[in-house]
Amino acid sequence: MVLVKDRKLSFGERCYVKSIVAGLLYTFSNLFKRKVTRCYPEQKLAPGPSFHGVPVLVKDADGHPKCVACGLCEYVCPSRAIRIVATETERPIERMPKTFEINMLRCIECGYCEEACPEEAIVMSQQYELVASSRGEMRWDLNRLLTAEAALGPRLGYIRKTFHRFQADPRAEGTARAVPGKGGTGAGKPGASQASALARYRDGY
Amino acid sequence: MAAESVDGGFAMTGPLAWLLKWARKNSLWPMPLGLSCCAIEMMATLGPRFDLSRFGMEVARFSPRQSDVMIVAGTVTWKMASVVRRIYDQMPNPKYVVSMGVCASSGGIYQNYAVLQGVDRIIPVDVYTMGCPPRPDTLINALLLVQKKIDEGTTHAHGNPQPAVVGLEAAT
Repeated sequence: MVLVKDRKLSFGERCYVKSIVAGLLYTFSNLFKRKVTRCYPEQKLAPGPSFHGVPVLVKDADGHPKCVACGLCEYVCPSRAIRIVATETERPIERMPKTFEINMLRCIECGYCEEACPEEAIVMSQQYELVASSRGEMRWDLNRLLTAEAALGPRLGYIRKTFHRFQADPRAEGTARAVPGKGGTGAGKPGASQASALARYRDGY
Repeated sequence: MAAESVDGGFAMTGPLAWLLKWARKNSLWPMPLGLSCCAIEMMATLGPRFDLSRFGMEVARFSPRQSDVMIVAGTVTWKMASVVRRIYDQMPNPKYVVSMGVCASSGGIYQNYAVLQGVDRIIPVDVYTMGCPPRPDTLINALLLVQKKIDEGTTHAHGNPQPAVVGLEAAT
């Protein structure tokens, strides 16, 4: 057991004058520090390509959805926010969604739909500030979801890089990455281990 | 400044009504009903980075008697539902409700027997917010919409009927 004895305070300390002055000085010094507040409605966040906003559908050059209504996103969605009714079309893709509905009040922006999509038709946008007065307004239909491909450019580039999709030989791309690493393919090198982890990830799929 | 009796109370018109509206709009004191992870983003909103006090909303105390807008931040389970309702009842009129995040708005990812599928089953909600959790920006946007609705007089507290709440609706 340790007996803790309180130190006897001096008169100045008992008056708290020193502490009060120190506290006020700290407050005052903050007046001259860099301001951290971001004034939201005026200064908005500029999301990078890895940002997960709400998912939207990609519109091709003809204005049609790229979606083939396979239903993978509907299946993989953990909060079951997506509803698809499929129909046939004369276009080469043969299938398209008749209705495609995402309930933005269910969506948790996890990005599983984007990852599951084989057609690169549903991607995460950069919209993150949706509010509404009713639940119906947050239920987006096909027309509202369709977004021009050009507007989603950075994100599409990002997911192509991340998921190694739509490339002739993803394995070759992986080795090309490992070569300019920090010399050789030593086991302890971070570059090499990352490349092998990526290879294992791809093999797992 | 005419005053007439409506339901035992007084409805004010003219400059006084404008003044009341202006005062209410610019001093929305939140009741931070943090039920899960959304509460963390709510705390961030109150912090220096997003600084809710820019809008006169910094007085977030856990005291329903002194608050105007209830921020339901998080998953409302059936067990918590009666408590949420009681806190809402304790708030003085006029009162507004922001349903923050998908769990409070619709049940979100929790589609099961334990979770209320949207807090609007038990209290009238003025503004619904997306996100899991919503960014502080989104919450500020929601509170700005509350301000706008107060200005227009379209909140539930202004006598607008609560839209009919459907029963145990289908998945979405």
